Amino acid sequence: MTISSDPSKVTAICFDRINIPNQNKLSVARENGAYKFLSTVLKEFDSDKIISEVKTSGLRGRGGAGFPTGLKWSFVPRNTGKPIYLLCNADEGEPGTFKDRDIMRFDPHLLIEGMIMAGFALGVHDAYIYIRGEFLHEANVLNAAIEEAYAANLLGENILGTNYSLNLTVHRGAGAYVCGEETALIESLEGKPGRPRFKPPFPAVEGFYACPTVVNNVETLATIPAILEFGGAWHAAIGKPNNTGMKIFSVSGHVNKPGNYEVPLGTTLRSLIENQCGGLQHGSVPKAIIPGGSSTPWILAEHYDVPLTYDDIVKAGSFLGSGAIIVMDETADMVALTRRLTHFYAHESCGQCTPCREGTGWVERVMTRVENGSGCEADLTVLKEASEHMAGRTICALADGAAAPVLSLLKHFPDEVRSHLKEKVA
Amino acid sequence: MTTLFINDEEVTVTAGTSILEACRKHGADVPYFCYHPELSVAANCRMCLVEVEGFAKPAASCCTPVSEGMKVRTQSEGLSKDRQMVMEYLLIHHPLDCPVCDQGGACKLQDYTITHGANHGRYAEEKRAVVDHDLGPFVSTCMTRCIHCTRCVRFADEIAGTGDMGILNRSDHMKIDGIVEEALESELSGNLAEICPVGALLDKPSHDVSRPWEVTRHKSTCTQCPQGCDIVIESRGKEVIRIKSDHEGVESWICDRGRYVYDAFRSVHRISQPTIKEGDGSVAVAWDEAFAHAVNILKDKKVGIVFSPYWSVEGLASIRMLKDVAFKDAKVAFDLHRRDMRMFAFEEGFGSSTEDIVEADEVVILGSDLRQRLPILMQMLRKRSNEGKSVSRIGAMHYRTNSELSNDQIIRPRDWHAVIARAMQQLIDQGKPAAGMKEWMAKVTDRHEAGKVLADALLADTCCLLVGEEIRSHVDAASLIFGLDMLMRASGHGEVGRDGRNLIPEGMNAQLLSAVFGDVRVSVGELLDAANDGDIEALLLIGSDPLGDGLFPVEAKRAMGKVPMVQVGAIAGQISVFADVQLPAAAYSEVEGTFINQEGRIRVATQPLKSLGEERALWKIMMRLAQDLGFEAPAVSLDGVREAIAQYIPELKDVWAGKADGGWKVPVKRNRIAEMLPNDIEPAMALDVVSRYSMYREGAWVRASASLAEAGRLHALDDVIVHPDTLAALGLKANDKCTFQTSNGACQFVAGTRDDVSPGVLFVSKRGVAGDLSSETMVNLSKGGA
Amino acid sequence: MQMIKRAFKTWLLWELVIGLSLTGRYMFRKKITVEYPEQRTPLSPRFRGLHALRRYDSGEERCIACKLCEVVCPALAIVIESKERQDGSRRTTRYDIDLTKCIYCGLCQEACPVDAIVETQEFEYATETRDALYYTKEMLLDVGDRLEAQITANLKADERYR
Repeated sequence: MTISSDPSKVTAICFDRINIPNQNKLSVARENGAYKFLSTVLKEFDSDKIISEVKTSGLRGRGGAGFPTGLKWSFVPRNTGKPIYLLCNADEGEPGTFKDRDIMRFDPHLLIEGMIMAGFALGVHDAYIYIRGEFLHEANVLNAAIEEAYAANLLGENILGTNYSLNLTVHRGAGAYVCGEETALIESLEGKPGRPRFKPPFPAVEGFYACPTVVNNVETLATIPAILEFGGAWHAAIGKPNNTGMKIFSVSGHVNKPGNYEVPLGTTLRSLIENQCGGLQHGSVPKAIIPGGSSTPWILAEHYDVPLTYDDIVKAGSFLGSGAIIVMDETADMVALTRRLTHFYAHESCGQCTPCREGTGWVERVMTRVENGSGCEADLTVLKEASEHMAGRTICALADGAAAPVLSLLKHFPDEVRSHLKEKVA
Repeated sequence: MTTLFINDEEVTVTAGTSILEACRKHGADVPYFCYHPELSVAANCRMCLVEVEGFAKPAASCCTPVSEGMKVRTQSEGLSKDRQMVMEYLLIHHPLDCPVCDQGGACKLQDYTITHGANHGRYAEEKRAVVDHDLGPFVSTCMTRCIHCTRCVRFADEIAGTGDMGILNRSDHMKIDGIVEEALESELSGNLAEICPVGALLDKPSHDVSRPWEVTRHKSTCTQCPQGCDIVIESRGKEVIRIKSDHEGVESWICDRGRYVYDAFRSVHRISQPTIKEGDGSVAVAWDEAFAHAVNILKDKKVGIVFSPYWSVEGLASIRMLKDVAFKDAKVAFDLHRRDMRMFAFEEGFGSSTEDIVEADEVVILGSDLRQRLPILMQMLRKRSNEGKSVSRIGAMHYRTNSELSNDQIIRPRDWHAVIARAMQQLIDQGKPAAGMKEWMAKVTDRHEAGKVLADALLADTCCLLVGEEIRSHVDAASLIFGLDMLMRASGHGEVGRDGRNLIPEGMNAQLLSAVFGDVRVSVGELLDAANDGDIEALLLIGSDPLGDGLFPVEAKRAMGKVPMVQVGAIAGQISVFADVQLPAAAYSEVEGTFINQEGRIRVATQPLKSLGEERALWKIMMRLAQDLGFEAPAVSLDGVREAIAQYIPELKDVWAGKADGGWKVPVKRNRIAEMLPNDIEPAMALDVVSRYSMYREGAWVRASASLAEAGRLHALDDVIVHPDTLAALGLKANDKCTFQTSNGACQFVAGTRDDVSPGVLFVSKRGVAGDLSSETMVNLSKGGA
Repeated sequence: MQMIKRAFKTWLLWELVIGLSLTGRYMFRKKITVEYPEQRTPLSPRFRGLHALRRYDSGEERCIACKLCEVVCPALAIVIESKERQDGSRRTTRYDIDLTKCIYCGLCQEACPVDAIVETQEFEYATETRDALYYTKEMLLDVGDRLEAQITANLKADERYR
């Protein structure tokens, strides 16, 4: 392992071994440091120590909501007599996000190691990786890696001679975006249609088969081995206070070198795009940026220098989300872009709550009309009201995500929308 | 308890209640579609949004639990805009067909559109249309109107236990669909039409007939089974349009049998005028003439009276009053499913209340297809077993229950003695003997392992037995019931307050019947045989149909035509062709009267419907008959009849006077003298006959209803059914023709097979000619037939 | 002087002349009296006369048995019974209007969502017996068939005021 124990010199955590070929083979991974620290953890650490280390590390969930992982783990009630489950959310469906896929494809053992450690901390004996249905190759890679891990006694009964046992199973989803929402994921894993549950009860108390359940993102779990090896304080020293550690950003759109980049939290957007991604394709400042996946509100060029942290992006009026940065330069047609996104959400709404089921379809149809040039001024009111009143009124946050692009469009680019209308406004 | 503020008013509710329930309880109006107090919370309509201080967004009140000091607002500008938008979302795809929709006028969507909706819609795109689904004879669908509240899905899952409704697809392509093509496989399916907040699921038999504002509602009691559910009869003029459950009643649901029998109320099978036989047919005559004919037939004859228990308490008592003045030595019978008329140690009726049964540690169903026999009690037990509490059963068949039973044993009826003896042995071994057990056991040689289920349940702190038709119609029923009585007393479930001895009765008013007729009743079979032998010269048939129902169709066929018959009734039945005089009596919905259900709960009907024809209350007909036969009428008013009933059950007087506290229940009679030892007759034939009780076929009322008959056809089993092993042992295959040797000769049928029937049992579905086998208790099966 | 004037008027029948001059004036004016029944006054498109049940061009009756006219009728003159027809549509099996009860308020046609029940301009349906004033569905449909052209024209004329 080449991760430096000096926080200021850390260049990557999850992507540390990403470029080593055949990393998905256990032997290669072990040569490069995988599972090195596992037996120490299993033998010398206990649950409280791990959880307090993770708390100290300040690690926040990398899936989108940014909830502190250590805190989440500490909510799980022990001694209820029910088994505790650990689910890895690998249903990477957010448009623009493609970071977990690389971890699973190139370094599956990092995820497995993280899951063993997390499972050990939580007293879990059955863990599942819920992987997006389209990730067939990744599922195969994971399954092969898990098989090797079983054979090497890294999974199964009495791992590495300790009395800790863990079974890990990969479950492929069936291609529903909403199953990335943790309760829908649980429903889907239980064999039911993937429809989010209302909360409370929260999954930590009543989740998978009504048992205490922790659902963590792939990147979150992949960070755990490093945190335990180098200590929570080490991790906390990377990045900015309350926004610690490294984060993988999936940059796409009008940049010269789109791709996954792992940088410390707090790096500015401009530096990420200009230094790592080779700058914009056209112009010097972007027209708009989606900072955290398609369901986050857009930010404009004025926030080009915002540091990429959970808190700073909120101040800029959006969310860091899963770290999927979509960059649009001056050539982008914002109306067409929004129309395409509304189509996505209308297609992916689970159909449970009225506002989302009916609202997403309605908004899509009106947007289509607007894009085609047959919209009118009243349609803008419809778009605004229909979007505003579905956001935050539903069980899960899909409706918020569906409303975000439309509301951003109306807020930031009203003139561009009006130029599409039938009766053109001067 | 949690204290919160709803619209600044301090309110205290049980901890864990949802905001919506707290609001409902305290009269704060919160609109909702998907919430239903009897179903789980889905929280998907989003109509019940309220504002909670400290919450960033409006909260769905149905799924947000109250917390201490919470400040809730149910009305605000933001909320009315939210509700307006939810209405607009819902109406996007909802068709504007209120004028042709039966729900129109009683529709939540319509009401909320007026109170919460905008005055116009802005949706200009194409609307969605959904293909309808055939959900059988009771529920008509118009799925385009569906608003996806999923109440029906949750009902099918949680209450009916069938799970045959589901959600398909997602986003606005989502649709509710039935998984079963032909019929909703539930005896409770009619409730779907009632819980649907819009016009997507509607009552099929009364589809397009009436509008909600035209009907008048009459509270009444259903007498189709001993459960005696509270119902509301909706009528337009004299015509019954619909029967619904009474939401102020004990239970929110009613079964299809009780609901769709309204078809029969307006059918041609009603006796609406007095008639006399003329040639092959009958002619309508005036009441006086009909009475004169009846008197001619009955006067100074040895009379047999057969009646049914579905009349009101007053009607039933008047039969006894008539018998006492006019036919002192008449034979009286009413139980069509009882062969053994010896005294039972515990009479028909429930010792426990329904709540006791639902709450008990152990419930054992003994020989009953409870789903068909008492669908609503079964529904409560289903709820109970869904909560993980135990419900066990011993019977001749793994009858379908639509829920998991903790223990389900199949036995032959002849094994009952051995089952009870096995349970007695266990109780004695565990130090809980009762006097008389030893003698009882001595008469039984075998021990059947199913008895362990019974004994284990008896050892629990509270245990309720539900003794069903298989035991009640057993030839040796009295000894079996005495055996069970000893078991219950030995294990401490016989004391007052913890009495778990429940014998499912023939019909309503069982407690009154055993009080009023206990000393005179005989078996229907015996009475009909007496008519056949000439010991009875005339029959007075009051509402009963022994040809169509019960265990004595052969006896009835033999006796019919031998003696003249006067039929008093509301519904004709198969036997009516033999009636020389028909006197129309008012149906249970058309009288002021009292009804007692299986657990002794009393309901007094005060809002009767008008009769369709010339029907009169039964007690009036009985008294007039007494008068015309030359005796003084024992009562001339309803109060007079009630006075007479008070001799048997004095407390009823207080009930009628409105003085009794509502919780008073008519107790079931216990006969401590009824010490019956098992008969030790060796069974003469190989197979025991068990007759199916089908809720869609049993009872003249039900057979007169077209929609129930259709359901009966859909849910029918093979005519006669045996276990495949039974056939295999005889070298027969399924669908071979077999010869059945009975005590009345031989007959031939094709026997169907089912794994869930106990080996050694011939299960008779009462259909067609095979119904005659119901008269038998045992048969031999052999190969043969053309 | 007064006396002379009076005598003069009396003898010359002056009042008569004045009176006759009015008669004369009207004799040559345009006549406003119509010779009913040969001549008729024009009727408003909103005139409320005999009821009619209308059909669509296809010949399908319009009425969908929603019973709104029945419930809105202040005189309780309408009686409807309905049933699902073979093809699944909701239709009346009975539609009676008791014209002896009807007060011609027009609320039925206001309530009708499909313009099925309308009041025509027909007012000459006096009969010799009361029985003949109990209009059944067939009679009402006949009226509709007979007067469809008039009804359509009236509805069209009134359309822009709705």
